[in-house]
Amino acid sequence: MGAVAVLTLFPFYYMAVTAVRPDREMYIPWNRPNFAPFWTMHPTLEHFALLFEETLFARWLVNTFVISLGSTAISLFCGLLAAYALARLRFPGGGAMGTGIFVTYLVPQTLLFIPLGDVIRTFHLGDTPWALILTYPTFLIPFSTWLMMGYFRTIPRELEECAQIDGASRVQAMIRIVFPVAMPGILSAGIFAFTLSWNEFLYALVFLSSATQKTIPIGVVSELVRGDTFFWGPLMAGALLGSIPVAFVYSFFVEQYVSAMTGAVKG
Amino acid sequence: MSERPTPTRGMAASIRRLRTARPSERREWLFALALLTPACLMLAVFVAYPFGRGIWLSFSDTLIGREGAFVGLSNFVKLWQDSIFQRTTQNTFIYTAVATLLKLALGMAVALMLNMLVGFKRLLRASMLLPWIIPTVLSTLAWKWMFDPTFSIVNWVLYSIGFINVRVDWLGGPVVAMWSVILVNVWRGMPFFAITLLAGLQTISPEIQDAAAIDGANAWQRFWRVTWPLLMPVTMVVMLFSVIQTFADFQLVYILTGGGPVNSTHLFATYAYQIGVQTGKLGEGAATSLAMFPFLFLVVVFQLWYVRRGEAR
Repeated sequence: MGAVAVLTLFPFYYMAVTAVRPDREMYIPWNRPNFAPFWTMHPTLEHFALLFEETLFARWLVNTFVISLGSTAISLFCGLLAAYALARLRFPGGGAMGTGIFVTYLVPQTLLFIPLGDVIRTFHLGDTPWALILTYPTFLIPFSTWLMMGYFRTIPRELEECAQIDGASRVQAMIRIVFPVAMPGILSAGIFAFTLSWNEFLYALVFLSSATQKTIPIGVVSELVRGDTFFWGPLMAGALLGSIPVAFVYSFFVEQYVSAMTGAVKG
Repeated sequence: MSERPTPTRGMAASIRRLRTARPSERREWLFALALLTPACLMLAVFVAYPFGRGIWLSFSDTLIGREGAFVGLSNFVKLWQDSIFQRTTQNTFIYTAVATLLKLALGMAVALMLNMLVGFKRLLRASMLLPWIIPTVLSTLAWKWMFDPTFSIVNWVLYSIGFINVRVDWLGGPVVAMWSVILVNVWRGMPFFAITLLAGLQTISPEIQDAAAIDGANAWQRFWRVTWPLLMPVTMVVMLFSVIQTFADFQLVYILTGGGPVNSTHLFATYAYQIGVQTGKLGEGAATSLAMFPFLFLVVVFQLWYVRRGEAR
């Protein structure tokens, strides 16, 4: 078990070591006797300095944050309402619509990225944050709807019925009674949606082109790789900094992640 | 979704119910309609419309910035005769099959170990999931650095323990590069299997295991005759999710090999990107990514059938 954990975590450790390793120590071929891969005696922040001084890393960080937050907010709003309707209300075609949402949930981004890029150009959204804020919900809405439907089903109907007997309208009962009780489910869906947007790569790669608009994954890959030359120090520093926010959120909400993950599969 | 009418009969019933509904029922329908509108609108504009557009593109010779004309099946015929596309198809199926089976085997082993573990369970489970949480592109960059032909720590470790005695260029040859990509995919995807299967394992009562043990079943028999069948529904769903994701993968290949050396490690998605985005042939690119559709469609249909069968029982 320990061995599995070490193998699982090693790439992150190596990422961190490389990020603080000075260049003269980094580019020693592996078969030289002085190749010491696991640690460094001369830790340096030069790669981080380069990242902030010579690339737009700070800008990418802000972009990624804004885009993730925006697309998560849209997805939670749409998903919450849709999930309530599908889990709670009886109406013709409800079953078919639930199936439709589930099928959309299974559609991989790679199936539609070329026509979607075309649609983005048609709407003149290319190379703006809106290209991502509006397209990330295509995979976040089905996911969060599906997750929250499962959550709503665990809340007893009597709760709303009591509120309605006390004179609340259906909408009031939904907003004041059901949504607060469903908060843990909403939180799970929200942080998971945020993580998925933060990590997204393909749409950002295809829809954004100018350096000022990029998100972290794209910025790091496109600006720190020139042709065949990889600037490994700054690359790993960027990878580390780009991972930390997600890892930080994750460390606080491990249980929500696990329930989102297992819940999203079982429905 | 307690009731699941068949589409056609459901539609007729829906229309009948629309005609004969009481006002209170109608109010509920209108309310549902209002709640569903934002989600449906978003999905119609950014999923359904692009899907239709993609089908049109795949039958046209559209380039970036120039609307094309209808060319029938010629994009698909061209792909069919393209040796790189043939290689890509083969790669995608091998990649999906091998990586999914490895993820299942390793994920199951890890889930079983975690389930038996007493201390450190939460900590281990939490750290296990990291590869799945951290942005894939960024962790894949770390792997690319670890595979670097000159500075490879993987070579150094394997050389030090006497496993290899020559330099291995992990991303340099067609076969070895494919295996390296599969390795990283397994590393990234295994936690999803392990944690979901663990959640499944925790719903199986230990008493069933105990009963089987009293009846004389050894650990191996207990796994195959008791745990495996009981876990089957979870396993199937996780497998199907993973098959879809792996089949449609893009990031790992894009970062690690870019489809190379000499177009030998492309998957459908990376080849579609090369044609549709890098060369700007939108029509051919759309056709390449739509080539994934028949298989994905079959998997989704199978998954829906499987989930429903489980509910019917």
